[in-house]
Amino acid sequence: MRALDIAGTGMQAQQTNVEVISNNIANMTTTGFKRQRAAFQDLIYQDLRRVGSNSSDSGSLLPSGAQVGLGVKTAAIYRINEQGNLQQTGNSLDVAIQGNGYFQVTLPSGETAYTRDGSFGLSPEGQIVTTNGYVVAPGITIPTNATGVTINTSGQVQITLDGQTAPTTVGQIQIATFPNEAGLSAQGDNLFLQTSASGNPVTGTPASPGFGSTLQGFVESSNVNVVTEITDLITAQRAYEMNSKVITAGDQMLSTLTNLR
Amino acid sequence: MELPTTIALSRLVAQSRALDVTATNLANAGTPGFRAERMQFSDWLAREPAAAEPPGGQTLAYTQDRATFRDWQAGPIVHTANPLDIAIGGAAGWFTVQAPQGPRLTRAGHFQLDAGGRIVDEQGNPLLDSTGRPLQTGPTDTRLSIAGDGTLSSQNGQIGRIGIVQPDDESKMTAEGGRLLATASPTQPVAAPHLVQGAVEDSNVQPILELNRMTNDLREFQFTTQFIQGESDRQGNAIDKIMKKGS
Repeated sequence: MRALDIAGTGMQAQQTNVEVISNNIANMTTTGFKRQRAAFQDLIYQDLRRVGSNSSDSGSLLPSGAQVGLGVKTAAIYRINEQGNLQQTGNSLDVAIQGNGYFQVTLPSGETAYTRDGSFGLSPEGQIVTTNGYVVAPGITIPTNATGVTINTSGQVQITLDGQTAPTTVGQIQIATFPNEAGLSAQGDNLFLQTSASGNPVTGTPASPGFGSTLQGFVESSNVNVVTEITDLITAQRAYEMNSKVITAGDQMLSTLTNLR
Repeated sequence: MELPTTIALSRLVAQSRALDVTATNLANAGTPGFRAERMQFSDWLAREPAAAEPPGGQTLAYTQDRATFRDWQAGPIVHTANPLDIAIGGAAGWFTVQAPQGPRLTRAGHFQLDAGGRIVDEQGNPLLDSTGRPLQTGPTDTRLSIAGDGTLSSQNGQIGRIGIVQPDDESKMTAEGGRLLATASPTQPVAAPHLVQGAVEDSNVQPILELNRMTNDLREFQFTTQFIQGESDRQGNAIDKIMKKGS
């Protein structure tokens, strides 16, 4: 009775699915969060009769065989990199990317991480840093006597100094794009690391061809769509139940057999 | 050996395998590009009509789960917005990937890039273009777009054309797991495929049908066991009566 094991793999897969969905719902208000989806694939097959084998000595072939699959497994949990909604915050150091690209963040280890979360702040030295205090590349320092900070669509950071009328440019935020964003590895804290699957980053200035533009005073909210998640949750739960029904059916078959004399 | 019981037994064995097929379908109701399988039964004659029948006897037919066949309908197309998720519109046409054991066909269009910039599936098997070579992207290609006919291009220009093939005889395809199918019959390129970027084809399993089939599998099984039970009771009664007569 393989049906019991097969339905068991189905229940495990749907459990993973529910876990992914619950993580999405838990992060529905996380800035820059990208929702994930579990992808499944079929397990190996058992040939009861192999297609194309000889059905007689005269060489006639079976036109189709009998194959029984052995269930399902989780192949991947991948991210869907749709743009999230942009929320206005009015904070001058909140920056959202409209379009392609990631902010580059220098981790304490010296590694570069990537993020779509542009709710920045200032370090004690006046550098633009993430909420965790990591420096946003290329490292822009706002002098303490600056009265106003403006970040334009191409990432240029301009300040107005006390007593001056003309703004001074103190730096330009660089963003990075990847051939395959879905291949980035999530590290938590809204940070991603480059992997061999994502390909090498291509850095550039915002609003240049192929790169998104930066919007000051906005943050990108998560791209979790609650309605989709809830309907996915219902589907996953029902699929789980259906697999459990198969187990019940297999069990009933076995119990009918054991009741035979 | 009592024949009615063994004939019913052949049904029981076949029916329990039919439940395995239904279980696989339901387990894979969320597997992209999966094709539902059905069990086909046929009768298997134990005593051919030409052979000598016992006087007043009948031809005996055992049942046999002769073959499984696939439902080739296309599954629903689900929007994902991933640039390397590709769905094939319509029921015809397959992607070819270069698996370690040779070229294999798949309808699951969830691809990504590997370290060398090739477009690969989740096991790392490269996707083949219309000439049978892996599709290779350059290190500066960031904006990949796929036209409806399978032409893959980036901001640096055209990269290649995704090969979409159709086997001459789909029934000769065998599933190997990992969403891959092998084909014994030659394949022909599809001249005008219709590809959708940013979407994946879901499984074509229809849970309502499968649940009905499962209930049916179960009831047929129980019906057959009841028959075996009845046959056993009948034999028991017969033996009792004969014994009584003899005493």
